[in-house]
Amino acid sequence: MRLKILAIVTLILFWYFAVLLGFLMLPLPHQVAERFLILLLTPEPVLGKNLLQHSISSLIRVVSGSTVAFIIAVPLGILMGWRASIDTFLSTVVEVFRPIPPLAWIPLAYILFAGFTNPVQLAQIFLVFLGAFFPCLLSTREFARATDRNLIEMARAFGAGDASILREIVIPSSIPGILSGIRIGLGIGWMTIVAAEMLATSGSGVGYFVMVMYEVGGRLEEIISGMAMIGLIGYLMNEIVLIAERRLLRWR
Amino acid sequence: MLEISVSKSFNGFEVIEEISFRVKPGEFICIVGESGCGKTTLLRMIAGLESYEGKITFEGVRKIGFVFQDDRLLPWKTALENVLFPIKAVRKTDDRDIEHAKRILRLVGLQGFEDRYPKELSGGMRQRVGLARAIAVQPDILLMDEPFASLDELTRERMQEELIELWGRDRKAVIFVTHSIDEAVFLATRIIVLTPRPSKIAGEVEVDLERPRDRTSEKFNFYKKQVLHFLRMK
Repeated sequence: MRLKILAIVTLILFWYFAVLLGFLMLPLPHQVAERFLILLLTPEPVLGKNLLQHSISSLIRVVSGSTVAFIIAVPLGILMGWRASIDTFLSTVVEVFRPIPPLAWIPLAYILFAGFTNPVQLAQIFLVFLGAFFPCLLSTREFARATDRNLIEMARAFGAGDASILREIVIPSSIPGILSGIRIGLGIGWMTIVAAEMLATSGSGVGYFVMVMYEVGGRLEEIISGMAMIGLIGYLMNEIVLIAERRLLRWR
Repeated sequence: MLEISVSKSFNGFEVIEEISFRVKPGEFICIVGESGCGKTTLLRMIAGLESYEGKITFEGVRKIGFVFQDDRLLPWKTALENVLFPIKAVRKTDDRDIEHAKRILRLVGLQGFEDRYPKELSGGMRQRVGLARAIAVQPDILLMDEPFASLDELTRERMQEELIELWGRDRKAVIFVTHSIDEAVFLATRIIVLTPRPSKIAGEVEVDLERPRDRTSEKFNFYKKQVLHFLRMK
């Protein structure tokens, strides 16, 4: 804990020195902090929304995109880890799509969702889906595949069938992988949404906010405040899933 | 109640040349042999986990309880849930099953530990849960694969005594694999000694000793010598 505080203090001191000695053309930490606190609840005039509202817009996109991703990725990952034939078949499909960065889907996504009332929103959610899907799928699959063969053999010795082996052994074995998949998926989904918001007029969103603050004249205090918010939310999401992991995996 | 006559080759190598014996109800059979002689393979064949040439015939129902050398408990289940697992794997469980599982945990001396996870139990306790799990299915035959091998000597001897006490209650047939001559003579009604690979039966020893058996008695040593004699045969 002491070291953690020391690290933060060092970082802030470094920031002060760098600015005061003229190495960095940035506002000072306390100026940004003040602006951040004001922006948090007071609407910023260009977009007419405060930082909290922007964050909630982004979070809604992340949560909807990743929830759909997890609902599909978890059962698929378990099946792939359990049956080598399913794995070979699906891996081929997955590996075709996985190397394409979510942002590269933007033009195609716009066209695919053009017929809907809110194509930009839908495209953004779709990008989050892509960002969250693959890490969760692969992590779930790894853990399902690493299920202790000895435990499966024990179950067979007692006459257990495939359904109960899946339910009682393979799925519980996969839960640590599912949880870390969700954690990594949310992280990548968050990065994806911030980047996607910078590329399109989405009306709100913390990434959009940062980009607009740049476009209206490089308002550094606002830009850094937005970035701080992005970092803070990413950190908190990670921590929340970590706490859930500790709760759910008491047996470890 | 069980008739075995098997052989096995693996990748062209003969692992088991020929092993034939019968198990009568109430018998406690210990199978003794060097490491790698196929003792474990034999148990796995009976449990249906391994292929073989020959025949394994069960008279009546074939319900097996298996106790493994490593405890093979499900780490995410409590002691009680682990004992219930084999029952739950084949049908829905109800309150009676839970009571039954609790009773068996008491029987193996684990009252108060029902809700502990395996990582919270000692090696001896985990083996007791493994034993309780095998007994809970009310098996016709109990297969035990060096279940006490990883325990310290004191715990091992206590577990042997408790096992005999449990066995004495309903005299289920047991096939117990071990490489310890002392353990075999202490537990068995009959000892089957296997030769090294390709294995066959080197000899059988009927152990006719009063229980509780005294590990230091002359008769005890007499049986140990007999087993040793068969083990040294080629």
